[in-house]
Order: sequence, then structure tokens, then C-alpha cells
Amino acid sequence: MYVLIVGGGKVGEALAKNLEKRGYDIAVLEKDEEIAKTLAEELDNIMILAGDGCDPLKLEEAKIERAKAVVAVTGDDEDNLIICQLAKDSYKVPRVIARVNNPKNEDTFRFLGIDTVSSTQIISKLIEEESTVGDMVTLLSLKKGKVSIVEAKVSSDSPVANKQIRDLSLPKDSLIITIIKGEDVIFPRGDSTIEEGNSIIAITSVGREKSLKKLFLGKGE
Amino acid sequence: MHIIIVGCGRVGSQLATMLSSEGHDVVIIDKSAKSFKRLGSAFNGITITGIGFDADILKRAGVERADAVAAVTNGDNSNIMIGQIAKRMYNVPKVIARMYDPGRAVIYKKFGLDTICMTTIGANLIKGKLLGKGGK
Repeated sequence: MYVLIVGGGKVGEALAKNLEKRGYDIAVLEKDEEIAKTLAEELDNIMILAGDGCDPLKLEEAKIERAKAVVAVTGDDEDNLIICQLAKDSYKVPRVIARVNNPKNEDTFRFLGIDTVSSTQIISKLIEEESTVGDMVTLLSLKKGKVSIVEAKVSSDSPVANKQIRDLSLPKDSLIITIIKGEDVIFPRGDSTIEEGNSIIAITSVGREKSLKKLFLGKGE
Repeated sequence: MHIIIVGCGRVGSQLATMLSSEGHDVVIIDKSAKSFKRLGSAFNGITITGIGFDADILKRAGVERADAVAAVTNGDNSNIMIGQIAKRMYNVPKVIARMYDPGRAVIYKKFGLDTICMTTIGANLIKGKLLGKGGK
């Protein structure tokens, strides 16, 4: 899968290395020729191009029409926005992500239909996750919110602690997908046991969330 | 008319002074307070120091009730972003974004953004003068 990264700063470089290691076909487009040259020396298997990512000709040189994803991670939000809009609207790239440097711009990006990643967003999410230990967190909403994938951390007083999957009476339209035990991910069978400290990841229809929460955590809302 | 001008360079300051002396309510935004020195004495509008594509700054400039926005900063991308915020988020009736790169101007015209490309206009004018015709 071909991924085009625009911006060869620290974020772009790290992202390129990381994705290349995972087997993606990567190219990095960097505006500053000197930086591009240094990058090309450092990153062996990655195609580095010097040029402005806001310039349609440069994007075409970088084979944007072949890209399954474009990630704009320059230090300028206005550039990231334009790059993503070009990728999405002019070249129909299926997945387009922009880095937002100033959190104030997030709403603007969202309004204009561009998915964003911002460090502020991530840090707040991490804090939020930390503070909802012992609670059930929605990881993903599917089908316009009709179905969601949720995660619950099992505490010692949870009704499911030390029980086998087959002994649980799961509410209708709910399914346990995985149990996370420390670093291990377990695909549960009837005889898998849920222990204190595990995380349960389940899929459920929205109407059943409350009963699922009650089952996992012993409290409903 | 309530007009917001973003960018107080040569074009922005002249435009602001002209519109203000014709009696329009002009708000001019620039990231550097120093650039407001360019404004002529005929300017009696409001100056705001800040980044023009910051939605909060645009709101302070009254974008919600603005009749027109001109994005004339020295960055094409900034102008495009400001233009889109004004047009699509705040439905400002008349929005103009100034461009230097003709390639970009063409693309953004396709996206429904009114752009003026100084490079093309300048080239055509010079061509016209050189050839002694009106030019385009």
C-alpha cells in the first residue's frame, strides 16, 4: 500500500520509518531541499522528493493518484489543510489525515471535512482514558452509532471477575471480542477465564450498553 | 458595507485605506502590529493583531455580519484557508482570495472560491503594454 507523507520534519521522518518497517510503500515530500537531501541519506528504502506539497504538479510527481493514504504533517496548518483538500477533492485519495499544530484550527479542519490528529487531542484522550478506569469506554461507534465497540476494565468486585465466558449471561446483541491480559490478547472461548485487571473488549448494540456495563462492572447507569 | 481585510501588506493597506475613506466599515487583520503603520491617515477603521485563519480572530472582526472578506496575506495557503472559513463556515456573501501561484488559483476556482491571481493579471498587463494593445 502506497502512503504519501508530506512534511519531512521530525514527525514526518518518524512516521515514514515506522510505516516503512510495517511494510508500507512510502514516499516523503519535503519543501526544503537541504532537509530533503539529509532525509534521503538517512532513510534508505524510502523515496524522498523535494518540493512543495501544496503544488499539484509536485503531488503528481509524487504519484499521488496511486496513494491509498496521504498524511500532511508539516509545521504549518494552512499548508496541511490545502494538501489534504487537494488530495481528497482533486485526487480522490481514500484516506487523508492532517496534523493540526494549533488546536484552535481543529474545528475548521473538521468543518472542511479533513480528519485531524493533534497532540493536544491525543493527550486529552489519554488523560480521559486514564480517568475512566473502572468504567466502560466506547472505542468505536459503527453504523452511525447503532453498534459500538466498548472496553471495560475488570475490577475485583466486578461480577465477571474469575468467571468463565460460558458462565456469563451476556445481554442480547452483545459479543465479547477479546480479553486483554497485560500484553496478551486473548480470543475468548467458552473456557477462557476473566480475571481482575483484564480489559474486555466487546461489541454491542446501543440499547444493550447499559446491561453490558452492569454485567461487566456491577453497576448500571 | 462591513468589510474584513486580512493582511496589511502593500495591497491590504491600500485597499483598507481606500475602502475606509469611501465610508465603509473596515476591519483589518495582520499578524504583526507593525504593519498597520502602512495604513494611510484616511483609514479610520479597526485593526486587529492576530492570525487571519484563526476563527476566533475572524469572529472578533465580525465575520458573522461581514458583507465581504478579502484575504490578501502574503501566503497563498493562508488566503485559501481564510477564504474557505469566511465562505463556508460563515457564509460571507463576497469573498476574495489573492493568489500568487496561477496553478493554485485554477484549482481553487474549481472549489468555488473566488480568487484573483496577481501573477496572471500582472503578466497580462505587462504583455499588453509591451505589445501596445489593451492586453487582457
